[in-house]
Order: sequence, then C-alpha cells, then structure tokens
Amino acid sequence: MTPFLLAQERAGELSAALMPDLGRLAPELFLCAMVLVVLLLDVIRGRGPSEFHPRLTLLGIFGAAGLVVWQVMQDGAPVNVGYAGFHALQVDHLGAVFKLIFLATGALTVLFIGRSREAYGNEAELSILMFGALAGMCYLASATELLGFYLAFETVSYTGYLMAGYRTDSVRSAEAGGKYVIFGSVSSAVMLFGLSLIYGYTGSTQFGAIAEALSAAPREPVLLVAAVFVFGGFAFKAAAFPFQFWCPDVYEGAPAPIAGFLAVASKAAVFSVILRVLVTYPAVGHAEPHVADLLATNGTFIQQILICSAVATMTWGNLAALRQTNLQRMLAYSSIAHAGYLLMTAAVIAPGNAAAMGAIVFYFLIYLCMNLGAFFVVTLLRRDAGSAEISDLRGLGFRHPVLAVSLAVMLFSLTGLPPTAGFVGKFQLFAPVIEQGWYVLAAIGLINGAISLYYYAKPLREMFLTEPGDADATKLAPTSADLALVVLLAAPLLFFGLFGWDHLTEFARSVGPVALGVR
Amino acid sequence: MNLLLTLLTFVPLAGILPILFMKDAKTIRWTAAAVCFVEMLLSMWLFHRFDSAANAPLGTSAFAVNASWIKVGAFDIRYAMDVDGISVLLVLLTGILGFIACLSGFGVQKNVKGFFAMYLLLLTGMVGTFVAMDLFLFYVFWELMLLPMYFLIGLWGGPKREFAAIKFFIYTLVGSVLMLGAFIAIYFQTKSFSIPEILAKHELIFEGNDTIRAILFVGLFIGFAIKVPVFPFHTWLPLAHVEAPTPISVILAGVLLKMGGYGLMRMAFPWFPDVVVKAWPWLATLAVVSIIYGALVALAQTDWKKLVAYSSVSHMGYVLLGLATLTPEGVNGAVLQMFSHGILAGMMFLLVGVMYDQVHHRDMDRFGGLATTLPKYTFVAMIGFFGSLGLPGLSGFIAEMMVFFGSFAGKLPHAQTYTVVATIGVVLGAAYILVMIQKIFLGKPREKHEHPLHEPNGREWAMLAPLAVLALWFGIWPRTAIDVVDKPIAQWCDGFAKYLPRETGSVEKGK
Repeated sequence: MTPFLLAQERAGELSAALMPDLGRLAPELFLCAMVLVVLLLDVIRGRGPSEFHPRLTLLGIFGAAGLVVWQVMQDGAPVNVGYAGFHALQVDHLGAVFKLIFLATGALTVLFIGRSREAYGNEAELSILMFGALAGMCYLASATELLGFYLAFETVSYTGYLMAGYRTDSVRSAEAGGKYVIFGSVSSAVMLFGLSLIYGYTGSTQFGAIAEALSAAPREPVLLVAAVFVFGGFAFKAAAFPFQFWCPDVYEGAPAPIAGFLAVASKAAVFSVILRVLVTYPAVGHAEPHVADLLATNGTFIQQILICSAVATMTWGNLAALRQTNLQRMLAYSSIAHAGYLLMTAAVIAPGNAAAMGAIVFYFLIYLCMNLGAFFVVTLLRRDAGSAEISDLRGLGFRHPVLAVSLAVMLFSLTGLPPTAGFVGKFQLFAPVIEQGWYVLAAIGLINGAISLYYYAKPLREMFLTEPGDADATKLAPTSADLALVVLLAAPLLFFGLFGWDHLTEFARSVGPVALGVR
Repeated sequence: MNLLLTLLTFVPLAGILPILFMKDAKTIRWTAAAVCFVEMLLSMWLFHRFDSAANAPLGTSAFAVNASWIKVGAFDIRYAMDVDGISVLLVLLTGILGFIACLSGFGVQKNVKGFFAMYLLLLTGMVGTFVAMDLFLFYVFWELMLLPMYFLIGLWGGPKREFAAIKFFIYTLVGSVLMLGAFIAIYFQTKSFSIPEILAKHELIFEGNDTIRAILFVGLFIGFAIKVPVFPFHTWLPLAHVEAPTPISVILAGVLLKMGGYGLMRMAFPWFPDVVVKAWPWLATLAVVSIIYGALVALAQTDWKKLVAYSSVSHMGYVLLGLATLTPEGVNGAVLQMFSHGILAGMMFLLVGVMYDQVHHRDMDRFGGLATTLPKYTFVAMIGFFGSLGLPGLSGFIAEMMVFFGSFAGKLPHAQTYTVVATIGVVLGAAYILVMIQKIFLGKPREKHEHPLHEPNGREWAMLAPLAVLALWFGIWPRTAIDVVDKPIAQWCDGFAKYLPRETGSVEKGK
C-alpha cells in the first residue's frame, strides 16, 4: 500500500469516526457558516438596505438556537465528542443552557443596535463579529479540553475587541477597543503561560485528566502558579479583581448595546467554563470552613483564589460605583460587583451540589433580563439625549412612567430587593455559601448588596424624586417598540420574583447534575 | 381556611388598582380613605374575634393560613400566616393609625394618585409583616415596605427629603440583609422557614456552639434594632421623621418602629434565649442609653418635630428594656409601650402637623400662648403630650410603670441599678415635654400671623379625637390590651426560665 493510500485510508477512518460527531457541533458550525454567508452576501449585494443585516443576524441566531434545542431533544444524557479517548467537547444540558443565554443576549443586542440608530458603518461587519463571538462562546460552553478552549476563548476575545471599538467615528469607542485589546492580550498571554505549565506538569490537555493529576498533588507549587495565571485570564473576561480595571473604560466607551453584550454574554461564557472546570475538579468543596474563616485556610487553593477575588471584586465594584454620575459607567462597575457575587458562589460549588450550580445558572437567566434591560435604557438615552449621564433621566417618571417603572424594576432587581427576581437570585447565590458555613464571606456579600442600593437609587431619584422644569427634563422619547422591549425584559423580573421561580430554579438545577454525569 | 388575615393584608393592595385609573384628586382621596376604613374595620373585627382565652400556639389559631407557595429542592416556602395576642394588638394599631394617617394624607396636594398608591402598598407591607409566619414571606413583606417608604419620604417630604429617604433606605437595608443572612443560616439548621417550627427547634440551631449562636443573634438583633431604633443605630430616625410628610411620620413612628420590637419578640429573643440572658448587660445598657440619650437630645431641640422624633428614641428604649428583663411584667409593659407609643407618637406628629399647616414653621421659639388663642387644640394636645410624659391616667404611664416594675424585679444581675438609671429618663422626659409646652402653649403669642390661627377643622378632629380617646382608654383600662397579650407573654417568658440565674436572683430580690 502506498503511503498516499494509507493516509487516505486513515483519513477515511478518521472522518468516518468524526462524521456522526459533526452533528454535535451543529450550532457552532452553523454560526461559522453564517459568517461566510454574510461575507458572501456583502460582496454580492453591495451595500444593501439597513434593515437587511439585522434581520439576517436575528434569523441566524434563531437558527442556532433551534439547533441547540434540537441537540438537547436528541441526547438526554451528556455526550462526549472526540476521537479515540480524546474528548474535545461535552454536549450536555449545562452547555445548552449557556448557549441559549449567549444566543438570547446576542439576539437582544442586535435588536438594541437596531433601535439605537447610532451610525454603524458597515452592518455586515457587525453581523460577522456577532456570529463569530457567538460561535466562540458556544464552543466554550462545551469545551472539555485546553486547545479548543483556548481557541474559542481567543475567538470571543478578538470579536469582543473589534465590537468594543466598532464606532470608528467615536474617539471613546476607539479608545475602548484599544484598551480592551492591550489588557486582553496581556491577560491571554498570562493565561496561556499558565495553561502551558499545566500541560507540562500533567501531560494532558483534557480537563478530566488534568483534574485527576491535580487532585493527586493539590499543593504542587508549579500548579499553584499555573492556577493563579489561568485564573488571571478568566478574571479578565469576567471583569473580576485584580483584572477589572479595563472594564469601566471599555463599557463606557463602547456602544451601549455592545457593552451590554460584553457584560452579560462574555461573563456568562467565562462562568460556563468555570462551572465545567469546577465540577470536574474533585478536590473542590471538601473543605470544612470555620465560622470566621474568611480566607479558607481549610479550603482548596482554587477556593482560596476564588474567594479572595470574589471579596475584592464585589467590594471594589460597589465602592467605585458609588461615585459615578454616568449611567453606563455605573452599570459597568455594577457588573464588576455582580461578577464578585457569582465568584463567591462558584467558590463553594461542591461536586453534587446542584443548588449552588443551579443558583449561578438561575442568576444568569435573571441577569440577562435586568442587566441587558438597563443597558437598553442607556442605549435609548444615548440615542435621544446624546449622553448617558444619570441626570439625563430627570423627570422620566413623570414623562414616561412605563419606561421609568420598568427601569426601576430592573434596578431593584439588580440591588436584590423583593419582590423582584433579583432577590430570589441573590437569595439562591447566598444560600449555599451560608449552608456551607462561610459566614464572613456571606456577610461581606450581603453588606455589599446593601451598599449597592445607594448607587442604584441614584437613577430612581432623578426619575421620580426630582420634578423637572422644561429645561432640564429628560430628552428621552421612547417609541412604542422601545417600550414593548423594555416591558418584555422587566415583566419576567416581577413574575419570577413572586411566583414562577420554583420552576425556573428546578430547571436551573436540573442542568447541573447532568453535567456531573460524565467526567 | 380563614381568609381574614389574607384580606387584611391584601385589601390595601387591591385598593391600589381602582386608584390607578382615577383622575380626580378628590375621588382618589376618598377611595383611599374608604379602603383604609375597611382595613381598620377588619383589624377591629380580628381583635374582636380573636380568642385570647384559647391561647392557641402560633400557627394553630382559628385564623391560621398555611398553603404551599414555593417548593424547590429543599426549600419549602409557605404562604403561612397566623396571629397571637401580640400581633393582633399590633395589627389593630396598624389598622387604626392606617386610617387616621390616611385622613391626614388628604393634605397632600402634589401627585395625589402616586401618594395614595404608595401609601396603600406600605399598608400591605406592614400588615403582612405582622402576620407572616414564614420567614421568607416575612422578609418579602419587610422589604416590600421599604420601597414605598423611600418614595413617600423622598417625593412628598421636606427640604432634605432625598437624603433622608436614602439614609432611611440604606440603614434599614443593611439591617435587613444581616437578618436575611441569619435567616438562611437558621434555615439550614432547622430545615424550616416556619416561625413556630423554628421556635420549637430553637435549641437545635448550632447546638452547643455558643459563638455562632451569638453571631446569629447579633445579626438578627442589629436588623431589628435599626428599626426600633436602639442607640447607636438610631441616626436615620430624626432625619426621616422630620423630613417625612405628617401622615408618613405618623406611620413611621406609630407602626414602623414597632416592627423592630415585634421582630425582637418574635424571633431574635425566643430563638436565642441563652444568648439573651448572657447579653443582658449589653441589652440593658443599650436600652438605658437610648432612653437617656434620646431624652437629652430632645431637650436640646428647637424644632418641634425633631423633639417629637427624639422622644421616640427615648420611648422605644423602654420597649427594649422591658423585653430584656424577661419578666412577664416587663414584657407586658414593653408591649403596652409599643401600643401606647404608637398612639401617642402618632398623635404628637399629627398635632405638630396641624399647627405646621397653619404657620409653616416648626420653630418652638416662635410659638407662644396657644392655650389662650386655641383652647380646644390645646386641650387635645395636652392629652397627647402629657400621655407621652407619662401622666397617670394616660396610656404612657401604665406602660412605663410596668417596664420599671418588671426590670426592678428582674432576676438578671444589676437589674435594679439599670432600672434606677432608666428612671432618670422619666424626669428628662417630663423636662422636655414641659419646656415645650411652656414655649408653645403658655405665655403670650410671640408672633403676629397673617391669617389668625384657627382651631382644628373637622377632618383634623376626626384624626385627633379617636387617638385622644384611645390614650385615655388604655390609660384607665389597660386590660383591654393586657388581657389579649398576657398569656402569650407568660409563655414567652417561660421560654427563658431555664437560662435565668435562679439563686442569685432570689438573693438580690430579698435585699
């Protein structure tokens, strides 16, 4: 047999083995294909009417969401995708939920951009970036192996850089993009170094094998260094301490809908990986904390990193947000604080603790509505008033009560006050922390929640407490479509705050144990 | 299933709906008043029908409601409501003050629809807090009350209203998140959100681990003490009370502060009796400091409303002292004081409000001689102020006396010393009330008014007269209240019996 034929036969074997698995990659492949479709259409059609690309993007996102749902209906149990013991992906419910969160965020972002009426040069480019980002995120949510994970992570990063700096006519936007690139590449490099240390020590790129090697040597110094470096990369994407400093500038400079997308989808993407790593890493959660033991001297090293970062992130985010006068910047700081709450709960995830995992999934479902909703109001504000200062909201409660009340619901929900879903979400985030005895950690988190009220109340004060003269009244003039969108995002917050949250919680918890099924 | 408690809680909420569709300010006012009147009748009906002789354990009375609300995993959150004598009395107070403050709200001119919608929402939150028997439900009502209060102070209040509103909101929220943390921790120990069930299992909460029990108690205590308010958590109060519009000051002083006392009685104290006994010196010190400090600061005020506000700090100190004595007399006194302070503080704020509406200032040095110009107003004012001073025959006296009896007979160390120091508060109380009366009602008018002052009008009489009657009634025949609360309080005190120092107590008593 000639070498050529041998190679051909091998390739045939390989593809025969891989072909059934292509279906497991359907959403990602579809999104990648959409990138090409948009590119081609742009060449064929030239500059089309502005309505075309947003619609095509929405259609593509719905298509991908359909494929995710189709996958879930096909496979009840998690499926490992790979060849000959090399598992690149795990397709399961956890991944599916996060993929749907990314896709929903993407769809809403496209809608917001359509409503923003900001001048976007070539809308085809935005579609391409959106599809690319979503493809990367979807892959991230399933990745169980370092190479694929890193490639997807970088795909998300690069598309993010370009989206943040998308408005070439705006200096702030360009600055945002620039900052994001510089900080992002440094943190990626650091993370890559950490990953290489892990590979060097364990000899494997697969999460499962790495976890086994790690649990055999939990205090190996090389691995501790590696864990810190890898966490650096995660922290950058999640906007967690000590890599949070890019966040306010980028979120403020970027177009508001894009900032919302980064705040929700990017963060969710990182947490999908964190959850997957944590549930496959058996040494986490064996610690029995003492009452006042904040630093988790009994905890595992990963727990210690997560807890320290969580405390610093939420405290820094909240304290820095107190002084903000720009709504978009304030939301940027608040999203840092929220990363802190989520990290806090991530730190106490133990194998089999469906409640803690479910809490994080639940929180993202809620966060999607409240944070994107708030960023949508910022979008409208920038469209109508030209800036996003909190004082631009003055008198909104008197001029446009529906919009004002919806924003109030979102802000109360972000604060975590009943009867909104934000309270239920926070309640679930804190419950496992307290259950496992991390009282000081929980107390810090709870007090942070109370502090956050101060800045979330600032827009309320402008909207309801300050009666506007004609000169300083808000210039916001929402159309009925704007209002419909805002109410659509605010209504679930009230509904799930009072009644439906048991079903939503059960759903959020049900995805966890399935992910635990296969290592 | 008895619907009365559900009705009581949600009638005000349902009342918001028609109001939202009304345009005319007058219709809105009268609709809100009608809703509040129904609410008052319901609370009276509850008081009337409540069988105090049966003394059914919490959760089993004829009015108990217990339905599944949210059930997910280990969380079994129930729509559970019930009352015992103590909550019945407080619901009655809420119903009465709710109607009277609503009448007082007729004076609000700005954004009437918003005001009454918020006001009714507040009422739902308050009643719900007093009747909820599930911690989650309780917390939802507790927080539900904050939102309307923020807007009521912040939109309709005085010049510094925005700052006052946010300070009130944040102070209370800090307290309530600590409380929430404690609730969750308690839940994981007892596997229950049900208040009666937790009481039955309270010894199991971190059994033997005194540190954690103390931490949890402190968490709950701070949460409720901010509401009471106990020194040093009181700084939100003068600001909020002064800046709030009159009807809201009435509700704040009359009902909201009682929630702190109610929470201490219902949760913090009986769940951690061992900690309470150990913490007695701290609790008594805080109570005595509140009594004396509040009175001293009141003495220094020139703003009439501020004086009334600080008098609340002083008077609520008696509540904490009475509860901390753990004797039936003291606790009865504390509950009576809550009720009596609700009536009298509400009345005092109304009196200040009535006069403020006429002269548009509250500077005591600019009043004078009202006794001669407005004899009827002065008469009703004397009932309120002398009641607050603790004049025998009015409700304040009997409450304070019982607190002192209870604390003097207390078995806890140095109870007598604390009592003696606390009585200084009575003297100081007399001082600031009498100085105020002298400045405002005696002497000669110090200012000419553009419009001559007039006696209270019909609506104002409708607010003041019932409160004056109640102050007299409960001063002369306090058994109306005591008969209702006596048995649950005796039971409450029994819960502490085994932690009390027996021997030393009897020796001290014999001295």
